[in-house]
Amino acid sequence: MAAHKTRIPKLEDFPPADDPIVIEGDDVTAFLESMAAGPVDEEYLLECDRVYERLYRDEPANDLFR
Amino acid sequence: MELRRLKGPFEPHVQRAIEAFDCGNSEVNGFLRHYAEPIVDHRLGTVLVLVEDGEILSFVSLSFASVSLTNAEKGVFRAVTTAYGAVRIGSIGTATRHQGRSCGSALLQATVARARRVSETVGLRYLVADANQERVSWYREHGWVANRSRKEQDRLAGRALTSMRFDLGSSTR
Repeated sequence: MAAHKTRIPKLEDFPPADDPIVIEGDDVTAFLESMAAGPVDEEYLLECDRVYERLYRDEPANDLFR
Repeated sequence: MELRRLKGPFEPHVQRAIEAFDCGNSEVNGFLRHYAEPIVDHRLGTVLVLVEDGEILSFVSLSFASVSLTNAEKGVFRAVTTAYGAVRIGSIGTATRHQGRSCGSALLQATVARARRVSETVGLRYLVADANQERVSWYREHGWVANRSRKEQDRLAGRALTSMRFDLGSSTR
């Protein structure tokens, strides 16, 4: 197979898009509301954190089975 | 009871603990026995185990994935991307003799918390899982919803599985 030299792109290879996507203001709020499956239960998330902090130890489990 | 990750390669005493694990589902048992080690060894996934007195009570395997949403669910971001970052629960199970102790629920909660930590570093909005039909209600009880996009449904066509997700939320801790 012939040697292939990769051309490194230069800044001018990436002109500004003619029609950039701009998302701002109310659109962002609408996005966040529409994307959520439902109201996020913040209390549940905090309880998840508490369970994790109580149970997890950042060491391999392997030695626990000796 | 504590939660830790398995590290490869699995020594004989780890293999014995894995062989002793039985959640009543041969497919889930088989994952732990045959696939967990190569997956962990090759960084294709992480396996967390809930351990008590040298016994595996529950385990969960995690990897990165993405989930497709419907245009309505994506809202104005439908023009930006077609899939969103997620952590996939590949396999999860609790030993039959320890079922009823909410080990699976604790493991699921810990998984949510772990994913939330990852989301602080890499964009990540969801947890996803392909739920057996008898487990769909269990996931729903923990705040999960079924994915409705055609792509997710086509992916599981013909299989008795439901593609589900959990929203980690847009707020940071």
